Amino acid sequence: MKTVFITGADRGIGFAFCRIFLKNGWHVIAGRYLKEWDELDKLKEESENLDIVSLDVSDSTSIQAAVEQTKKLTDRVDMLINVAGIILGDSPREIRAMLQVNSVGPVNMTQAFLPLMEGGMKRLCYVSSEAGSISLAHRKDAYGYGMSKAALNMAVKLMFNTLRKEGFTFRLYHPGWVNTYMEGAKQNIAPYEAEDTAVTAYKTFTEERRSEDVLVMTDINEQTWSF
Amino acid sequence: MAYSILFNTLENEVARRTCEELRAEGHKVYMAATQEALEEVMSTIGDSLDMVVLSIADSTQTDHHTIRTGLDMDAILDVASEKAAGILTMAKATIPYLRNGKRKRIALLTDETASIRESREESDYGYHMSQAAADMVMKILFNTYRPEGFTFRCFAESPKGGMSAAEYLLTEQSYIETDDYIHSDENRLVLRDGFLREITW
Repeated sequence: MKTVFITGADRGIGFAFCRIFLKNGWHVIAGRYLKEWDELDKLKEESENLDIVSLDVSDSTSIQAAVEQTKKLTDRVDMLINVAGIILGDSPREIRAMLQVNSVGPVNMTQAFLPLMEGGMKRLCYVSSEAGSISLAHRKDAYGYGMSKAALNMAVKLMFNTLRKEGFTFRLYHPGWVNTYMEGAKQNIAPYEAEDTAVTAYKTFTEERRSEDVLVMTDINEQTWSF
Repeated sequence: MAYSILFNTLENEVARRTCEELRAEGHKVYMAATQEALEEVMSTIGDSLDMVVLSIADSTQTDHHTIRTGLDMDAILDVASEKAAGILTMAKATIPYLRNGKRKRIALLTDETASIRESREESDYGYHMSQAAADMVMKILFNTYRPEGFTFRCFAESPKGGMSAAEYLLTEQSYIETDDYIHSDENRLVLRDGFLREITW
């Protein structure tokens, strides 16, 4: 049985990813940030293949604790999926917070989990956004969120440049416009639900590609996005 | 014609050289790294600027660690947030003054490692992440202010020669107001090097 670690698994896209990986027979370790949110607890009642680990991706101590707890659950993580993300405003403090969670958090997670991934599938997955595409950005606001996702894309490329030659493979995924909880309460204005994007994401994250030496961002419709 | 040009930093070699070159050509060049410093500068020169030149590079800071040799996440966050948020703050602060200016131009001095697609880099995470964030700032500024007549220049000076940044920043790009929007280089945000080659984002 393969093992996947998913950050931001409490609800929304991360939670949908947990469900679809469980449905497909994976051992899922879910990084939980919101102690008061009980969807993961309910899911665990349905599946013995789900483990829940406390995790704040903006906190190195929390990440190290998650690594130690994961070591007790498995000797190998095949796939790491970085989902955790936030949307805030454009003040310097808010931009820093978004960079901390959306951009540096996935780098920190990757660095911390690499030792556990050596013997496995070696697949690193990152949920980015079309908002990080400099070529195609069309927004006239939300500077900070776009900056954090562009910075994430750059960070993934830097990691790709080091780790691809060691056999790691990468998936950079734009989930589409999904009704999520990223701004607090769940939206109900987007064309997709988290379960919709989880279907494409599962395929994207688990399938083999002919060209693993190219870092490409793909979306819910399997279309590619320029940086 | 002499222009009023403001730099947000002179901490890197290209910015310093560009500043000197523009000054030697007779332009009035100023430096302000904060909003307070900008207000102080503007209190002495009036209410208009023709161009702001932004950059993030700091020749004195390098981080050789890779994902395999122990990245310092706090340092990465400090560099990325300070530089990226700083660019945005200064760009927004200069908008009212640029509106009153003759060129309404916002420029970014960067280098070819800013390209996510082309990057072969494995270290300097904070710097490279802030480069990408700065590029996004330029794109959203472009989306917002190009319709008002603002113009934009992103330049990566080539170590092998070609145009200097000072020369490129003052070039005009094709633009005919009555033409289709896409029939103009001024209506695209691109990163070019000294040989005017476009560098993919």
